[in-house]
Amino acid sequence: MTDDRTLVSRILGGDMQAFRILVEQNERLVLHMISKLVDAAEEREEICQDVFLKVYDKLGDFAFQSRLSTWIATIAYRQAVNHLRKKKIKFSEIPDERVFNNRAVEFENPESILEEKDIEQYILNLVEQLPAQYKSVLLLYHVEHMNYQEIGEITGMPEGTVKNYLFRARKLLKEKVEKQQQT
Amino acid sequence: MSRMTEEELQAHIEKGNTLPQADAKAYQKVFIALSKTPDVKSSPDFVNKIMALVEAKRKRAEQLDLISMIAGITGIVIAALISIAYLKVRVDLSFLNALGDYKTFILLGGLIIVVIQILDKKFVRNKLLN
Repeated sequence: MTDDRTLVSRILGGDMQAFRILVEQNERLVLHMISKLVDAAEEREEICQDVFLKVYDKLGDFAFQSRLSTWIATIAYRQAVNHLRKKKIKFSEIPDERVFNNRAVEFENPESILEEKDIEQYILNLVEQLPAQYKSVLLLYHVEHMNYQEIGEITGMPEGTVKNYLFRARKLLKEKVEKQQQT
Repeated sequence: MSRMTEEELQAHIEKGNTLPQADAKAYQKVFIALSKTPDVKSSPDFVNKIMALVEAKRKRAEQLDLISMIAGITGIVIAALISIAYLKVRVDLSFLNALGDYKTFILLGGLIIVVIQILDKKFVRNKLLN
């Protein structure tokens, strides 16, 4: 893995192979980030492309105050949010747990007792029903292994809010799992 | 032993501790599921598409730079010609005869500039980029 400073210097010096490495290293992160916020699969790839074009344009402004991947994830998050706003898709700053509870009912199947592997899928389905901010925070923490500060930087939320969202999301999911197992 | 709060339970599970309570087991399942990588993939030629887009953008920017440079130089030349015509300036090139006496100095100066440029490109700029 090429370190951030070397990679950025090479790209700014006109080395396109270095930019290819940057895309390959961050493709997964950007795609995951966008997929948590944008439901329409056909729009995701186009947004991902726009993210990397923006990264290329703005790379000279990157001041190494965070990891390069955190900076790229910030661009991805903002790009996705702007896309939702353009499409006039509601992106509320305050997640509505009531909506989640109502939607989650659709996934509950009291007639079947889920096996271990089904429970995992059941939880992942529930995650998809969570408000966008919850999904983003869960992804960045549990899959991308980012810390509270980095997640706060990406999403523009205070660290306390990040911790609170993580806690509430896990608690909501745990309650659903318990309820499912009691049936 | 007093019952753990939800925060404490989550902290224990995150550390990888195994707890006997039913809600701890439910949390364990949640944590395991959350750590799974999402099942989304980009198209196989995704990176190539990005590279083609960036390359096209770079070429457009280079063309724009070239067009701006040509337009700038043409503008300056036209402005100079109009000014000369309007002000009826007579260009006196007799100073070139005087410069002829310093031919060696002028050539040496040019040579030094070229050497400095080569050294800068080879040693200074390359070092900064790497």
